Amino acid sequence: MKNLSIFLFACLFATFALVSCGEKEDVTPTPTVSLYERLGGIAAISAVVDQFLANVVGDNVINARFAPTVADPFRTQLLRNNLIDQICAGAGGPCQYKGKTMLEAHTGMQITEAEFNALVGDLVAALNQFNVPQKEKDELLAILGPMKSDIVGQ
Amino acid sequence: MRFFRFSIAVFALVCLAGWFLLRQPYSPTQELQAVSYTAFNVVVPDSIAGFSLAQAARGWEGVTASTFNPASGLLVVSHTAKITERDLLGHLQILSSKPVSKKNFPEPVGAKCPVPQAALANLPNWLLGTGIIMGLTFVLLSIAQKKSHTLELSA
Ligand code: HEM
Repeated sequence: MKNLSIFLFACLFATFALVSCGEKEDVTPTPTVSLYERLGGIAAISAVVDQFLANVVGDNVINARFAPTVADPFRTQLLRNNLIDQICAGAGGPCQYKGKTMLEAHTGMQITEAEFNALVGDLVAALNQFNVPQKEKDELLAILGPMKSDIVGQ
Repeated sequence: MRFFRFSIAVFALVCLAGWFLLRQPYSPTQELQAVSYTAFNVVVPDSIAGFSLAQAARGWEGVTASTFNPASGLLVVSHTAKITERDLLGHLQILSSKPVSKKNFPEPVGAKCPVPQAALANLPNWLLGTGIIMGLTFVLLSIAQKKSHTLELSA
């Protein structure tokens, strides 16, 4: 009986270990070159997002919205990583977006069209700074564009 | 002793089950270095001078991005812990030869969760660690008890 309980415990441990290890390697190869790869992978996306958020923090049309985020290192990190995950996953990369839905995240903020355009302008400026080609820029903006209805006026 | 062992096993299972339910899927972002965004009020003769300050900042170790916004007069630097706000301020002051000040964004007012957010985010890791330690303790205790039982029998 005692041996059986030890055996069961060992099995349980092994299962947990396998489940947690298996996830990291679950990257299915895609036949065509994904937007993620064309953008330059996670390093390039994180460089663009850092530039994008720096632009946002400097932009007095919208930076007041992000004041509590910038004042809190944990929130800053969360927003930055969520944005990287969102772009990376949307572009076909191996990331998992773990944040709220766009509707959940922006409900109650009453974001205006002008603010949305200002933020998109900051993103485009970041993409231009890294000389991202027009095709990739358009593809990325096409992923984010449809989110507008969940963000503006909510 | 038996009750103690049983409690440890139950505790380990509860921790592991908690970890299993709360764990986040792996994402390569977890491996990125944390950054902060620090904004400075700079006084520059024209926007070109502001842009070149931002350009210079991009070359400093620990700086991941930098921008100057002529409309707000803010120079924003995204940086890792390799370079502090004080270092940035010092470098910018030297380069611009004009007073530079950090722009402080107001902290959020109102009720705040008393548990630090970072601690909550680390909860799954804590549960996994505690579950493994408790599980190993259970296994070691079981082995020790089995050995002492065998010794008793042989004596
Ligand atoms: C395509 C446009 C946008 C995208 C992709 C986007 C994406 C995101 C994401 C991923 C989050 C984090 C969600 C989470 O915490 O789980 C977030 C939060 C937030 N967004 Fe947006 N957003 C967009 C537009 C805007 C605009 C236009 C504004 C305002 C000017 C805005 C203000 C905020 C604020 C204040 C937060 C909360 C940050 C925090 O929790 O500290 N967003 N957004």
